Amino acid sequence: MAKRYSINTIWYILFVLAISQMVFATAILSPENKLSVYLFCISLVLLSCLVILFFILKKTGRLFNKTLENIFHFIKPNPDINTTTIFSTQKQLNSFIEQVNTILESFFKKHISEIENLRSENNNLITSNEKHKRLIESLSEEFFFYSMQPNGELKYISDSAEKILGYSADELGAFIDSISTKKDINTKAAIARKEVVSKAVQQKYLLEVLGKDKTPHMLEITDIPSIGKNGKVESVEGIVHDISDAYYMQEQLREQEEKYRQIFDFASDLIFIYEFDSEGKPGKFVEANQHTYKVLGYSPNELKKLAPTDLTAAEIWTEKHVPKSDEIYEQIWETKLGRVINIEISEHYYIQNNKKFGIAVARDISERKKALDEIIFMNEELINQKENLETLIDNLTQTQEQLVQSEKMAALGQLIAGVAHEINTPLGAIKASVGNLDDSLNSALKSLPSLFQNQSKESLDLFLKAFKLASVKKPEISSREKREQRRENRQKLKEQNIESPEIVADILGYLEIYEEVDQLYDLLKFKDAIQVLNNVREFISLVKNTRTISLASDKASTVVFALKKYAHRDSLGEKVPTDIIDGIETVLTLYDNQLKQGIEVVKNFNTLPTVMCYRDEINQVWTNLIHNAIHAMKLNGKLTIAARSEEKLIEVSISDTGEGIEPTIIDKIFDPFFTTKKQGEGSGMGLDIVKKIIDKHGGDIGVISEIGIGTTFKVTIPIA
Amino acid sequence: MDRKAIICIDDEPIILNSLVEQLEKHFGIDYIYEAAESAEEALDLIDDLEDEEIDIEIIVCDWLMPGMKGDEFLLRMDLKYPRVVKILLTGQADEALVYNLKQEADKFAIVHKPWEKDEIIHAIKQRMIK
Repeated sequence: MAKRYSINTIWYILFVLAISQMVFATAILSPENKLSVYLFCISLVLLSCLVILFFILKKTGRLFNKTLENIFHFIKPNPDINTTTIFSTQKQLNSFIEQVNTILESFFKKHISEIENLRSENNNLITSNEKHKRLIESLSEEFFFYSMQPNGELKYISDSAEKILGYSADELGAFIDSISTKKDINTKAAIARKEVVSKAVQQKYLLEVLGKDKTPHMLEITDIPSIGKNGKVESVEGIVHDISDAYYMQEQLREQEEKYRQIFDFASDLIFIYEFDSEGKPGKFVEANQHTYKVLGYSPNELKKLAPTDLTAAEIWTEKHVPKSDEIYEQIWETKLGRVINIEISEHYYIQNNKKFGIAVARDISERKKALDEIIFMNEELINQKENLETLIDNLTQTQEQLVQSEKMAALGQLIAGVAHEINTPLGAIKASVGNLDDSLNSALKSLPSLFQNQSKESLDLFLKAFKLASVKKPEISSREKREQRRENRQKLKEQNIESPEIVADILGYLEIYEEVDQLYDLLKFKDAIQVLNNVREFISLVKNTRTISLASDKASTVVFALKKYAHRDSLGEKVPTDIIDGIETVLTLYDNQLKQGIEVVKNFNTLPTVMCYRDEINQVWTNLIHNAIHAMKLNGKLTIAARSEEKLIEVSISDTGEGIEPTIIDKIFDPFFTTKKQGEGSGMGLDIVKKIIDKHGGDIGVISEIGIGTTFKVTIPIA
Repeated sequence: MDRKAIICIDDEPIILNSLVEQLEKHFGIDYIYEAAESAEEALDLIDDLEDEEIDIEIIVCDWLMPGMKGDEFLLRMDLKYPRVVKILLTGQADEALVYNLKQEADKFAIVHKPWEKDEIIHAIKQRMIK
């Protein structure tokens, strides 16, 4: 009821207001009073609007009835009160409305068309706004708009700002200052923004801001100043384009590009790109880094006119022009200044826009190469030196071996000299005896016929007697004794008045008939006795010379046998059971001619077991020690050699009565090359060799010496 | 008839005996043949010969002997009997030694063992002429 009442009341008030205004306006209507005209017009419009509305509503039936009822109700609020209070009849009301209508119609007929125009214009505007709105909404992912005061205070900001930045319009407030970052471009942006206001010019600038989620946004802002009537900027309209995606991607690319550029430019290698010509051969340089220019000495422009093949004659560029990235070539290049450099290069190719390019990374390895060459040179030098040293060592070893050998040879040489003498002596005896035999045989044969045909009994008796006496084997006596006996015989013969006692004594001496001479006294007194004795002598000569030859042969054989034993070489170089004493005796035999000159040899040999030895080497030990002893005694003294065996070893000591070894040098005597002998007399290797041989046998050698008394070397050798 | 002496010295009886006989066969009974086994014995022998007033014509001496060496003995003889023919007999093969001995070639002749009969006779006769 209340609602109805209120609607009725509105209608009522509207009508009254419209009419009263119109009445008032009419009352004061005059061309001079502008306000009255306006009021009149407004009330007229209102009234006409009401009428129009009323008619529109009337067409809707129920609403019409209700409204009408309400209106009448209002006009006649008390049911008891008749509407005729104002309008006596319905007729009167209708005519009133008709009148008003007519007045309104006639009065505003000319304005209706204007209103129609305005309305259609308004409709157009609404349509345009809608379009813009849709457009804007479609751009809301990337764009937003704002309007702000010249002082920066935000008047308006489109909803999409929130979508993009996350801040609501309220939160944004003076949006730029609060969320802009400190990036360099923001400084420029601030300047640009100020200029929009101060210079009243449109500006387009980039601004980086942080969204609510702290992600940076790059905004491309176009600020358009709005200039008021006074010519001053009243407001600034901004179109904001969020170009973050593109910008940051580009920035990233730029950074990356910059990074690679840095690597490219500041690499200490030569990096360059060259193109391939239509024939597939390397063509001109396309691009190169700083280092390439620096090393090659060409400016970028100069280099672009050249091809890699201009800088090197390396076949690789012309023939093997299919670069393999896994291969590193070495080339020789020439720089602009003509310097020849060594280049180590690796490359590969790529195709861009249907063109083939080679990209190469090269390194100037001249220094390295030089250093390497130097190292190689030095290495070779070292190798040479090493080889030289090895040769030297070989030579030394060889020399040492030669020395050892020459020491052996020297010892052997001395031995041979001795041995030669030992053999020459019996040979001499043999030769002389053979000559004597020949002579004697001739004489004996010649004498035979006369001896048996013409001889007297006495002669034959003398011959047979003398021959018998001479043939008796007698003990060997010295020349001194012989001479003595001969002298005695001479005396005896003189006493017997035998002719030519000297000659007879000499012949008897030859026949070695001394004491038995008295048996021949009678026979010697006959004539031809000397002739007969000479005949006997010829026959005895045969016997004696034969015996000499036999003795001499034995002697020579002994020496040769000793030499053979001494020089015996163990072909296998293995230890063989060795009779140590036999070895020492052999050496003594070979040194006999030296020993017999004034050295007494004392042998204290116990029975020894055979010892496993390198036989010829162990004989070398005795040779050297005996040789040294003889030398130390200067062929005069006593050489004592003792041999005995213990449980597992044998011990041989060789003592001389020589001058002895000085205590200051006794420690050095086993050192190689140490010698007390004069230069040329000894190599100083003798005792070194002895030591080595004994070591080889696992034995030991020691020395005791006393000046003026003599020296003893003691050698022990394991039996097995 | 005064016989002159030929003295042979060698420590080896086989040499001494064959050498003496060899010389006896060549030079015959005109000489007295004396043998000694060492230089020392030879010196005694020479003393004896002097006592008997027997002149020495030839001395043939071995080099390597116990005691005094042949060269030393012959040099000593050379001082006393420069006119005596002196022959050094050596079986040594040591060249250096032989070289040293040859330095004394004006004092004595060297004959190597084993020797040819002609060789030693020739050496003696050559010296006898001088």
